[in-house]
Formats: sequence, C-alpha cells, structure tokens
Amino acid sequence: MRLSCLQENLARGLSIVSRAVAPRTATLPVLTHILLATDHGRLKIAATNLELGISCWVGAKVEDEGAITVPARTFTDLVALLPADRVDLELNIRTQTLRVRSGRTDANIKGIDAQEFPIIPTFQDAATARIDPTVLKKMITQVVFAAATDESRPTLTGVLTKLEGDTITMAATDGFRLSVRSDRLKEPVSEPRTILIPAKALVEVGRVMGDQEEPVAIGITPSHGQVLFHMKDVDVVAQLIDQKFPDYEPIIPKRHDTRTIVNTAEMLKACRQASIFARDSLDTVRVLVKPGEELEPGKVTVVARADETGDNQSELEATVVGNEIEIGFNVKYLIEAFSAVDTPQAAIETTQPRSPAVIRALGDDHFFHLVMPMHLPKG
Amino acid sequence: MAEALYRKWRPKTFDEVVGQEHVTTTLKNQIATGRIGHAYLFVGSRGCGKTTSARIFAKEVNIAGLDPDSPRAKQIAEAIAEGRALDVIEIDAASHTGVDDIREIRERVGFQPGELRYKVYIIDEVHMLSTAAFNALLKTLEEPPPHVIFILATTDPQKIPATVLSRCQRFNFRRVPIDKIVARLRQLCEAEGIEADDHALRLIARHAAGSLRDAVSLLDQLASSSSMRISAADVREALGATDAATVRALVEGLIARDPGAGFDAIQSALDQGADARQIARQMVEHLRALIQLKVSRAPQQAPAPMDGIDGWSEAERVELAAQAEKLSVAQLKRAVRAFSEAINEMRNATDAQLPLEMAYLDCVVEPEGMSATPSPQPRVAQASRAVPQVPTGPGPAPAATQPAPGATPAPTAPAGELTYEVLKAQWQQFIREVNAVNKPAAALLRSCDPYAVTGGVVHLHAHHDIPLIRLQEPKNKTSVIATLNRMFNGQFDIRISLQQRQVDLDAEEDPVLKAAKRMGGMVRR
Amino acid sequence: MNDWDIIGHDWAVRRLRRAIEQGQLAQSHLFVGPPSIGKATLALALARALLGHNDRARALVNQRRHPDLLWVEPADAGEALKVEQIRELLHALTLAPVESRHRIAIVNDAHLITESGQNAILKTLEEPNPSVVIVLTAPNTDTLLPTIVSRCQLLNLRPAPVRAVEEALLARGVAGERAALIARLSRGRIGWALRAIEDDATLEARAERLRDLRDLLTAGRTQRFAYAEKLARAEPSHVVQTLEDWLLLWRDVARATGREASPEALVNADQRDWIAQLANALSVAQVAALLRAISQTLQYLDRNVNPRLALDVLLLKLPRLPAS
Repeated sequence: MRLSCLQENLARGLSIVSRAVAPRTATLPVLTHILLATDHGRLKIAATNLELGISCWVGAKVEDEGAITVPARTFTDLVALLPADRVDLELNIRTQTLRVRSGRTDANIKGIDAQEFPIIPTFQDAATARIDPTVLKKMITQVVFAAATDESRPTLTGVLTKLEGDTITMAATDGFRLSVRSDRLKEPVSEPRTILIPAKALVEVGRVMGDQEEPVAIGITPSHGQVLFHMKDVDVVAQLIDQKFPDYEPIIPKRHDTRTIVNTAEMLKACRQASIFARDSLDTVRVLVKPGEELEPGKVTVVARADETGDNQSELEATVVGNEIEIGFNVKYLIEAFSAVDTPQAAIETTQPRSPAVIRALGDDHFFHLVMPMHLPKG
Repeated sequence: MAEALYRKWRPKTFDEVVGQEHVTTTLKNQIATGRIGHAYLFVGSRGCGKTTSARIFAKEVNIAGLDPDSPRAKQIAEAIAEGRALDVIEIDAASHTGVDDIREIRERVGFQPGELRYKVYIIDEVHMLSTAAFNALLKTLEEPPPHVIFILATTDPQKIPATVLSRCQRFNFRRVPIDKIVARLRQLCEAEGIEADDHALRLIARHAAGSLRDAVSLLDQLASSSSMRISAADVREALGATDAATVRALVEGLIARDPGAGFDAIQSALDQGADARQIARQMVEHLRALIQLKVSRAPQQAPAPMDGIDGWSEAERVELAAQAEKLSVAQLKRAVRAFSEAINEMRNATDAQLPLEMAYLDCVVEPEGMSATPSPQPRVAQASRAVPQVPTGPGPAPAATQPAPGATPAPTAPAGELTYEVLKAQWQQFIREVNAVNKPAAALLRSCDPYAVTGGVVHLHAHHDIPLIRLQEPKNKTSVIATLNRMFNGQFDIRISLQQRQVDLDAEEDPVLKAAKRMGGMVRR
Repeated sequence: MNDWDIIGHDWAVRRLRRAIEQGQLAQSHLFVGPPSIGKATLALALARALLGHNDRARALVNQRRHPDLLWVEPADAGEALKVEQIRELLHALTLAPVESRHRIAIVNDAHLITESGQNAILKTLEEPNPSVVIVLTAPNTDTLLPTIVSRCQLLNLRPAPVRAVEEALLARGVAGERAALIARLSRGRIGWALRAIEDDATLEARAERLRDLRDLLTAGRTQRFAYAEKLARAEPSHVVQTLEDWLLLWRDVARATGREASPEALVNADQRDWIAQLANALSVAQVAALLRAISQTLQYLDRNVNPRLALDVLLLKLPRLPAS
C-alpha cells in the first residue's frame, strides 16, 4: 500500500471512526486498531468494537493498493500533530509496518495484518431503504431517550425499527414509558423488516450524520445480524440485538377522558421547577388538571413536595377538554418527554390516575409518547 | 441449535409443576380468593421449580377473572412466558447486587403497571444482594404500592436478613421425589419421541437428587448422543460409573488387605472410561450398604438398595452378607470416611486417581498408620480374586479375616453420642484434660475451635498454621484422641483445617459427603 | 486422532459432531476434566466446527481472534475471573453474530469466576439467544455452583487410557521406551504428554527431583532441613511439582508392597528396582502415612501455610534408610 492524502482529511476521518475503537482492554487486539485500506482510489478508514463499526472514506492519491491495521491511539495522536500538509503512507508488507511521512516527520508504526480485522459489511451486501437526514435525526432525538440504559433487560436497550411500505417506525421503551415516531421513507421497501438497533448506535448515527443533505440509506445484512447506515463518505454499522421486543401495542390507550393542551415551553419550565423539590420524594410530582369555566381558562398545576426541602407549585393556563384529574408522574420523565416535543404546543391525554398518559406534539401526528403514572402515596 | 428440553417443556400452569403441590395449591387458592400478598419468598434447592412457579404466579394473578382461553389471556401468558411482558420484571440479584440497583427498583416501584393489573418483580438468587441492597429492598417491602408483587427466590435462605424474611410469605419447595421425576421424564420421552428403558430413567432421576432440571438435562444429553433406545448402561457410561465387578474387586481387596489388588482394579476401571469420583461415590454407597447390613444384623431384609433401582438380587445379597461378615463396623466406617474424603480431595487434584488410590490404601492399612513395624499383610492368591466366589446359600461366610490390629471390635452403638453442642460446651474442660497429659498439645488446642462433629470425627478449625501442623504430629494427635475417647466415651478421630470461608452446603448429599464437603469447603476466589 | 484434530476423547467428538449434524446441539455446555486433558482444545474445535466456514475463519478461530468467538479466561492464570469480564460477555451475547451464524462463548476455567459472576451467568446459560453457544470448562463439577452445572450439558473428559497416549506419542515419532514412560507419567493427560515430548526439561527436572528424594532418604536432620530451606525458597509451582512427583513415586511403592507389580502397574516405570527396594524396606502402613503426609503438605501449601514449616515437618517424616 502506498498513498498520499491531506492531513486534515485524515484527521477528520480518524475522529469520525474513533468512537468505534474498542477500549485497550479489549480481548481482540485488532479491535484497538484502525483499518487503513485503499478503496477505489480513496482511503478507507475503519474501526469496530464488534457492536458498532464506522467506516469513512477520504480523498487520496493511491499509488499501490493494500491494507493494514495500526494502533488507533498511536496513529491518531501522531496525525493530530502533523502539519496541515500532505501525508505519505507506505506499508512494508514483510514487517507489517506503516511508514508515515509528512514534512520533516518520518515515523514507522507496527501494525496487525488487515486479514485479522473483522469484516465490516458494505452497503452492497444489504437490502436498503432511503430516508431524509433531517427526518432520521428527528426520529433519533424523539425516540432514543426512552430506551433503557441498564442492562438488566437487554431487549429494552434497543430501538425497535420497522420498515414497511414507505413508512419507518421507531419505538423505544424502558418499561415505564414508550416513545414512538413514524415517518416517510423516500421510496417503499420491497419487503417489510423489523429490527432491534442498540440505542447507543443510533446516537452515533445522529452524531456522524452532521449536516449532510443527501438521503441516508439504511441497509440490513442478509443474515439480519447488522444494520448499516450509509451516508456521504461514512458508513455506520451496528450489531443488532438478537432478542424479541415487547409487544407494546396493548399498552397504548384506545381512548381518553381528558385532553389537555399546554404551551410546551411553559410546561417544561413548571416541571423543571418542580423537579428541584421532588428529589427527596423519588421524583414524584402531582399534576392537577382542571377544565376551564365560563370566564376562567383551564389550568394545569404541577405540585412537588418534599418533607425536608419544602414544596413548590407552578400553575399554567391550558385548554382542557374533559374531566378534572389528579395524577402522579415521575418528573424527570415528564421533562424528557416535553423536551422531545418540538412543536409550540403539546397535548396530554389521560383517562384515570392509574392508566398511562399520552403526550403528543400538537400538529405533528408522527410522534407519540406514553408515560406511566406514579402511585401517589396518601396525604 | 436445539433449545434445551428443560426450557422447551418448562411448565406453563401450576398443574404442570411437578412435586410442589403444597405450594401450588396454596398459591392457586390465594389467586382464586383474591388474597394476594405483596411479597413472597420461594425457597428450595436448584431445579425444583422456583422461577417457573414465580412466572406462573405472575401470569395467573394477571389473568385472574379472564377466561384462560380468551385471546387476551393467551397473549398475556405468552408474553410472560417469553419474558417480554413489560410489567413482569425478572432481576437476577447476582448481577444487580448493589444498593444502586435496588434503589432503582425503589424509585420505579411507584410506576403503575402499563398493561397488566400487577407489576411483578421476580428477584432470583436474592441471597446474593449486599446488606445495603437488602436494606433498600426492605424499605420497599415496608410500604409496597398496591399494584406491586415481589417474588424473591433463593437456594440459600440463611443469607437473607430476618427483617426481609418477616415481610415475606415463605414457600418451601421440596426436592422432587424420584417417582415423580421418572413420571415426568416418561412424559417428555413420549412427547419428544425418545425411547428409554425404565431403569435408565430411574438412574437419571436418582442421580438428579431432586432436581427436575438436572434430570431433564441429563435426559436431553443422552437423547442427543445415543442413537437408539437409552439404556441403563448408557446412563452409567455418561455418568462415568463403573461396573459391579470393580466395586467387588475393591471390597475383596480391602478384606484381603491387599494394596496391589485395589490399585489394579482402579487402573483397569479407569482405563475402561470410568470416572474416579464416581468410583469413590459408588464405594461409599456400597460400604454404607454393608454397614447397614451389619448394624441391622438381618441380611435377609437387607435394605433396599442404596441403589434404589433394581434392588439387590439374591446372589448379590448373599455376596454382600459375606463381605459384611469379613469387615468390622469400625473398618467400614473408616473406609466410608476415606472414600468420602477422597471425593473431596479430588476437587482440587490434577490427578483424581491418586486420592482414590490413597483412600483405598488407607482402608487397607491399620488405623494408627504411624507404627514402624510392618503389619502382617495376608497375601492373597491371584486366582481366588480373579473369580470372585459367590456362595450359594445365605449361610455364614467363611471365617472372617482377623479384625485389624488396634481396631476395637465393632461397638453396638455408633461411637459416642457426642454432638457439636456438647463438645462446644465442654471445650475448655477438654483442653484442661489434655493439659494434664500433654501441655504443648493443650496450648495448641487453645488456637483451635471445635467446628463440627460427624460420625465420630471431631473437626477443628485452627486459627493459624502452627496448631494445624503440630496437632497432626503423632504424639499430640494421640493425646487429643485419647482424651476425647476417655471424656466422651467413644472411638474418635480428629480432622483439623485452617479456618476459612465455607462454600454453600449442598444439602442434597448424604451426611458423610456433606461433612466432607464442609471440611474441605475451599475458599472460592 | 479424528477429523476434529483431537487426540483421545473420540466419543466426545462423536457426540458433539452428531449433535451438530442433526441440528440438536445444546446451547450451554460444561466440559470438565483435569488440567491439560484437552478441554479448551475441544472447545476450540467445537468453535471451529461452527464458525470455520473458510480458511480465514478457521485461522482466526485457531488464534482465538474470530469476532464471533468470545474467549474469556482469567487475566492472570489461576486468578479470579472478574464479574466485569462476565458482564461484558453477557452483553456481547445479547447481540447478533458478526460474521457467521453463531456466537460462541468459551469461558475457560469457569471455576475461577467469582461467586457473583457465577450467579450472574445463570440466566444467560438457561435462556441464551438462539445464535449463542456457550462452553464452560472446569476441573470438575464440584468447583462450580450446582445451579450452573444443572443448566449445562455436561461433557466429562476423562484421562485417556495410558495406551492411547502412548500410541499418540509413538505416532509422533517418540522412541518406544520414552513414549511409554511419558504416557504413564501423564496419567492420561494428553496435553501434559505433548508438552513433555517437546520440552526435555520436564523429564530431566523430574529425574532430579527423584534423585533428591533418594538422597534425602539416607540423609540426616541437618541435610533435610537444609533441603527444606532451599525448596521453601523455590517457586511455589516447583515445590508443588516436587511433592507431586514424590507422591507418584510413593504411590508406586505402595502398589509394589505385598505383591509383585507388573511394569504396567507402575507409573514410574523407569524406577522399578528402586521402588521394589523401597517396598521391601517399608511397611504398607508407613508408605500410606507418607502419602498422607505429602498430600497434606500440598494442602497446607495451597492454604498459604508457611512453606518452610510445612516442609520441615514433612521431611522429618521421611523414613531414614541405611545408605546403600
């Protein structure tokens, strides 16, 4: 392998793939390395920790084809200190050593044979769908936060992703709340697919996507083991969770008794205030919804009380259709839910204090969030 | 890849749970009458149905009142069985031992169930929780929200604080009786198209020691490895058990006090694929049968078989009786102890053959093995052993070999009625008595604690290595044993080990094994 | 030898192969047997059978570098396997395979998993993902929680018959007498035998340890204490090896007392005359007591008893024989 490229391109590529490099304690040494390979006149940079793989292509002048893996840390640190100039990379196949030259720098880095690097599937291997990048980004922000972060139920650390017709649906739950968003694909998929993507991987996809404007292609490998997000010059491959996702349909209420429309920002502010006082009561707050009367508008009151801290009560105006209700919530969950609402107004749909509440973004039918109420101790 | 049989055939209703009717009936009643508790503790040894029953309970409380055949009920049942129900949360305490994990539960128990009537937390291996985590759990158990049920499951209730125990309804799961295991195995065989002999199933059930899961696992293994009908021989082979001839040769060698005979029998059994520890186990069983026979003094009613399977045939009974005649109870007890200890030593041995051989050797030599004069070693003619004689009638066996020199004649009652409690109470007095005859030994004993008394063996825990080593010296050991014998009127032996953490006792084994295990209970790193 | 490249354990290979061919392979396995008997080798062969679809994959499996092979063992030999290692493994086992249709987890020396780690792995052993195969190895079932054992298919790898080891050595061109001796000394542990033929030092060291014993038997207290002092300072593994070699020798002496021992009956076949001599000079009881004393000393050492003290006591228990 012999090629040259620009330092800034190399550095940018390395920073993109860096999140997929395994920690140095990894059992397979090659996972702490970065793959460098010539690929159709460009340089391919790739890293994988077997859960998440990122490949990135940068412009290069390729003189000899070839591939090698080099220790991620050493190589990244070195490149960062090189002048913003041309970098020459040359592989000594016999010693598996990569020579790095730029300006007055001349370094040799010992590598591991590229054959040992896990095969990261490429876009050609995968059945695909295309989606608008802003749509995908929104899905990620509105859904991923509801996934479980602890490993006790591995299934719940994933985001269920359904592709059917020209619709994509993502859903995540930690057992106490559920976030779902559906949106449009560019074209219908040839056959319906359902996969479980680790929430962490989707966060990375959102990060790597940047300001890309071209559609993102989503591919699933034939073995159903991996999902691939193909972006401009970057591929993110995630290992799928190989388990069954809970059937969440039965939880979704079919009707509601009260529909409350609030100003999203005001509601968020009330919740944030209450959360200061709710810390000592396991984050439980009371939400009182009162329909308006002839001259008076309806209102929502968020009440937090802690024996030691004191109490707090914030009130905001609301349009309430239906019955009065008092219902307990975990305030952290409310904050996260209303933060995900990106329309000025939000709707809260409730039936009774023991049944799930649904939060919607008013004017955006694609998003839907369900949160379980809390048991309110007496008094 | 095949799903394990025990998983595939995990019971889905209380009626399918084998051998725990006393538990399932009560639980069914509670659900029927609506008197449901908030916290349950399921206690029992492995594989007897605790987690399975917990899942069934979680399902039953949540479909109570529904027609069990309705689509809704079926959907709930399926989701719970597959572990997909959001409101049934299984936590293995082992991976979530910390207080943070339990605090998380505490923070979350307040959430109303999403889909079901009750949110059910099943906490498996609950004894693994740390003290702080137990305290956090206790707070939750003190004020459980009305919609939450906790089911704690454990194999080791001693490790659970009394404060937690007192807030739970406790259900003891029993080891599943052999007949019920056999019946269940038979059902599975029919369902899976596995052909198996009755003897084979009984052997499996017996080996499983009350754990249905162990039994089904072994059946699974045999079914996938033998192409035809599963026979008792297949089971023996899988377990590494040896044939009756080896056991016979060892016992005959023991009677003849012939070291070589036993060594050769062991070697040949191992070369044929037997497992050293299985041979030791079989020896323990056989020798215990001999003791029973001797103590009962009624060979005609020879106990039904330790073996529990086919019983002894007439010829075997005669042979047993003949063997029993030639060995004293003391000798047999020593032998049982030696082979039990060998099993224990094999735990850490690179070479399991050696502990077995040494156990055999210990049985062959006289008890106080430190004597310098060679003891008379009757030589046995090669031929008489090669073809074991099977007397034709139940008459008395040919003149027995002399009891071992130094061994007392078999006492009618087991050596002393000394219990741990008695010894503990008289420990200081005992040390004073030793002091009268051997001052250094008494000084060493002050650095020891009595730990257990089993079958005439006094187990001591040494605080450090000096008493451990020096009390083994013949002079000291003799004084200690002599004083024990005098004070407590029996034939005692002592075993000393360093004080250390014990592993869990597995209550399933016979008392001798249990004691041996207790003694060697190695530190788990 | 069979086509899985495993010496001995033919039945075990047959069983696993048959299960794979019939699609009946269980998902959770426990391979038990003494050290160096081939547990890890067999586990690796199973992984090769499941993952090795081409040369690259087979090579990666052999180097334990295949992305779908999760190999877990204590970071330092003999040390505990940490619960974090187990958690990492459990997490990896929730994910789909990377390159093949399976994920194989091999936990070597599973008895070194901490108690909480052993408890943590129970759920996964019982209900692994469909693509997962787990193999645990341990010296015997008593070293693991019974709840682990009862969730696994047990494969008990027993020592190979001495003759089988001998034949394997002969097949590798080891000279007859040497092959016979190594086979006996291996006590059926093929891995040990293979190391011994590659490294002459193994046999030489044994010969030296037996020479030491021979000298000590005629030596007085002072010499014995000097030897104990020297030995107590040696590497613990060397001390253990010395005592184990001595144990096997006295085992042979015990075998040779009372009745003629055929050469096949002895482990130390090359020491036949000396063994016969010792068997004549000592009673069975004396030899039995010695065996106990040596094995007890090994236990002391295992429990961190002061080695010098333990060895002093042991060496004084050795009989004193007239110099020949």
